[in-house]
Amino acid sequence: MAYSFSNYEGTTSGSTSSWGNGYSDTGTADCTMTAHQDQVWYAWTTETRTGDTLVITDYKVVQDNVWKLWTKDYGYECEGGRVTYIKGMSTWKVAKKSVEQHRAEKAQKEINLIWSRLLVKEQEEAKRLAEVTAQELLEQLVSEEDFAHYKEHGELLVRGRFKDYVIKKKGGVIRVDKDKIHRIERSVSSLCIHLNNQYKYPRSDNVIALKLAIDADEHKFNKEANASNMYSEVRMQEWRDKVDRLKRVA
Amino acid sequence: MGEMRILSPSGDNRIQWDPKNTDESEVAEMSFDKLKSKGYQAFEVQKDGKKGKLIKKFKSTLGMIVMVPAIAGG
Repeated sequence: MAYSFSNYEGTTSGSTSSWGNGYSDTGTADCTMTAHQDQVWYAWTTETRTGDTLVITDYKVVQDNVWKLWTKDYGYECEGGRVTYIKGMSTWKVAKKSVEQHRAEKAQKEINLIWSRLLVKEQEEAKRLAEVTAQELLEQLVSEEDFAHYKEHGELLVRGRFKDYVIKKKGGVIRVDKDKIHRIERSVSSLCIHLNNQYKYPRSDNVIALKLAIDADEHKFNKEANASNMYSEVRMQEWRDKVDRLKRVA
Repeated sequence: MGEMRILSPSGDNRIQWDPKNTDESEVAEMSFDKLKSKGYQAFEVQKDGKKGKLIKKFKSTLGMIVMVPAIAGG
């Protein structure tokens, strides 16, 4: 007696047999299993079958197994009347893929690859255009010199009432004290503050938002920012010099 | 002519209105209120590097407004 996908309605003598999961508890079986995709589809999309031979008791299990059968190369073997499936067999014993199927799969993979590359390209272009638009707005909000420096170095100097700030295009803000107080060197801090969901927006939008926030309410800006001190005196001096230089240029 | 620039993932979106045209001004005001209710901050800005000012209410006579989504400390 053969278990076969084509005669599943009347051949097994067991009490309960899950169609498509590849084993039976009772009856004798040889391992001649033939599978056709449309029959697999039928089993997959047909819920419970009650009849003299076949009862699918766990629909989800059947679905999972049929899916594995269909998408991976699982094989079956028979031992003492019991059919078990072997994970990872390189070929399906009965229903080997035809040359056409292989070709179709290969062609589909190539189509998917081309399609995904096109999508990535499209997204990159949209991002680039968004950045251009954001920079156009920024250009209107800052002086020519500041914008030229921003274009070249990706850093925007914002002169606050109490401190100076350098907003970095790639993220983060450097805050530098205005002047020496009682011969104490100006302190330099690194601030972490940005637009919510900053990665949704072009980088220059983030710069615009921070610049406007400093201009409008410097205290609030400093309160919201997460500040950390720079530990290296050399780095601090570099930033002090940079801010002085930028102020001279502007 | 008034202009509202709304920061968005595509750079920014624009709404323009003629202060003398009440319909256009109303549309701009509705957009302003909607964005404010979403947590956007509104800045009245001057061109050429002059400082922006935070505004709470829409006025059709304002020149340029930039609507900025909420910012947060990292």
